[in-house]
Amino acid sequence: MNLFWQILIDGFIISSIYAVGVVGFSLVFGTAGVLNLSHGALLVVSAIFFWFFVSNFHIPLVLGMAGGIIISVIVSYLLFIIVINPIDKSKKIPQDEKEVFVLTATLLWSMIIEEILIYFFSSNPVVAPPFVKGVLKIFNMNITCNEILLSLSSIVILILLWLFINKTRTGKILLAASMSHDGLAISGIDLKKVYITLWGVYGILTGVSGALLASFLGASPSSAGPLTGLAFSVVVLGGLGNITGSIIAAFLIGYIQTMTAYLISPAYTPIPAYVILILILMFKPKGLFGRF
Amino acid sequence: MRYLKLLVFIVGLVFISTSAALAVRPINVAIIAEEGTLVGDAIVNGAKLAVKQINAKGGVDGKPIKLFIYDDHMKATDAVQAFQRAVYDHHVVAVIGSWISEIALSLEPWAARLHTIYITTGAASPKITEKVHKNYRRYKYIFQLKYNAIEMAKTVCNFIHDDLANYHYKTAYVASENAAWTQPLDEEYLKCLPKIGIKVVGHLRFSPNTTDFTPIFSKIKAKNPDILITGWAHTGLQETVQWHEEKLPFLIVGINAQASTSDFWKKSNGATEGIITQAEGSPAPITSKTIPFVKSYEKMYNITPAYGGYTTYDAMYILANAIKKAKTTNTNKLIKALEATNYVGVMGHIKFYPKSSPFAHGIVYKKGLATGVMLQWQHGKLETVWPSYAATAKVFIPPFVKK
Repeated sequence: MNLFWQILIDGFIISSIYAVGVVGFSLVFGTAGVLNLSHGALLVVSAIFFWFFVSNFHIPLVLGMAGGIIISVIVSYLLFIIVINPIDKSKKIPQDEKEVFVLTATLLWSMIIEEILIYFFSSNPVVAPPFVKGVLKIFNMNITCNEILLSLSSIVILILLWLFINKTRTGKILLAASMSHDGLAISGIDLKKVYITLWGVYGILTGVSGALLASFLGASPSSAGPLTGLAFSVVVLGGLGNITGSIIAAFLIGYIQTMTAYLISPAYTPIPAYVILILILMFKPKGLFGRF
Repeated sequence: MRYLKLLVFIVGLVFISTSAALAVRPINVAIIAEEGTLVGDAIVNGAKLAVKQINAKGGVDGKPIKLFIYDDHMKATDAVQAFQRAVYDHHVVAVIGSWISEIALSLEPWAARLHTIYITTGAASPKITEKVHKNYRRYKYIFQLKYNAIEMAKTVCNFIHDDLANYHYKTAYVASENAAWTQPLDEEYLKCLPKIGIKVVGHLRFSPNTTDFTPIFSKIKAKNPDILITGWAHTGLQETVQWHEEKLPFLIVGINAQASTSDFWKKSNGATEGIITQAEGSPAPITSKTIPFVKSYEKMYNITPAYGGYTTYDAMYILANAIKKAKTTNTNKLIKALEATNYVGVMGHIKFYPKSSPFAHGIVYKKGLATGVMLQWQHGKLETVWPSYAATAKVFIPPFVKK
């Protein structure tokens, strides 16, 4: 019985952090059609800068987190201005090959960020200080108050994102963009402004997620690849561009990993999730919940 | 006649400049390391510091040492390419470095094929020297200037026996990351712990990519051990932070390579308080050379050395001495000179095991020669707690750990 509660609680904590970490990846693919392979690098950027501001300038955690988010927004816009937009506007690249070019360019962008981070911060991992201290004993488990706070914050962020997309005009435009760019253009909406909003929202989302990751799991430049891999797996499992599907898939993968660690061995934690992913790709290529 | 004078002048000029060039031809040495990692950076820094000092004193018999530094990006393929480049392009006398056993093992066949001396100053797998023992003629080029994993486990057990006896700890759980060097480490832990009266209540190995240690700590906590025995090098930070934040009641003792340098306090936001780890060296009077070395290193790099700094610094001096003794850079003669090493360095009194030993060309692990040290983070400072002659503080038990 104790094991059941351990898996339930631990799985919920890790899954909620995964969900908030991958939702930006899904949003950008759904809205702009960009499969951003530098997603993990963006998460790591904000995580490392959050740690850097707090440990070097001894500022309050919230300010450090804000610093990390600002850097993440800047890197997000740089990605759009330097990488995505020029490929999108290029007349030399055939239209049907642009996706491959974007895929390659974002991968290279990720590698550039990773090398820059290693140069300035080394490849050693860092962990940001906890937002709150203390331990709660639930079902004979030691759960830190910080983990509970991070998990609840992740749920609040997901709810706020849902409200933003479904209840605000800007969010509805982003939602419409995920359905048809042509339709938006006909309605007289400036696509450029849509993109500017999208990459700003994406930067904020990755900034917040990166800070949460830094406080719970820690981060190093070499985490960029595995984080992108995780986001990719979750989004494929949930259905490319389907935000709700991605959130459910994040919980599925989080729980599968937790069950593997508890019931089989911590040495094989990622393996069953990847096997399931391959099976989904083979038998349900549009993911569990399909695309928008 | 005028043309003849001019010809003589030109020939003379060419002769003088060639002789001058030959006279100062440096001794090329390659460093292959994982730059950007704590231990990899320490390998590079230790080598640079030693070379700076050796060259400042006139080099090796008047010849300066020139370093060629390669970053292998923690990949065996990059390391092999670097090894080949070092030999073919830079004609190095020896290659030093790498703290990853998988990489050191992948370089061994190349050292044998290219007849080039390779000294690993960071990799701990005993398989490295086992090859030398089993096929000396082929693998005589390889040296391991670092305690192997079996000896590291022995150090941990000796420390528990000597320094933790007063606390009457009876049980331990062994948890190591999955890597080549931790297999023999764990095997030795499982052998040596019962011998010192510690019952092993559990043993697990986890993926080096693990970031969430909650399930692992839950498993460990269920067995209620007094001590958690570790084998961590690729990992270390997340476990340390989670242990500290969850206030888990067992003491962490073993190998936590990342915790062996001053930077770790900042990286873990002080969560490393109370962590005990084995290391090759520390800012302590291990020998008369240790503290001056640490001071010079800190002055130059603003950080205390990780273990790779101690080993590589000694490796550079041992190589320089061997060249002096052999009076040549001929590989076979140099191997003989290295085998005869009897050198007091910063990590202890260094001798290499003979080819008859299963650890052939590894450093002799013995009380009175070199045994390594045990370090503990105490109030933001990395203290040496074992062996007694080098200790700078006594063991401290964190308040949330059972006593």
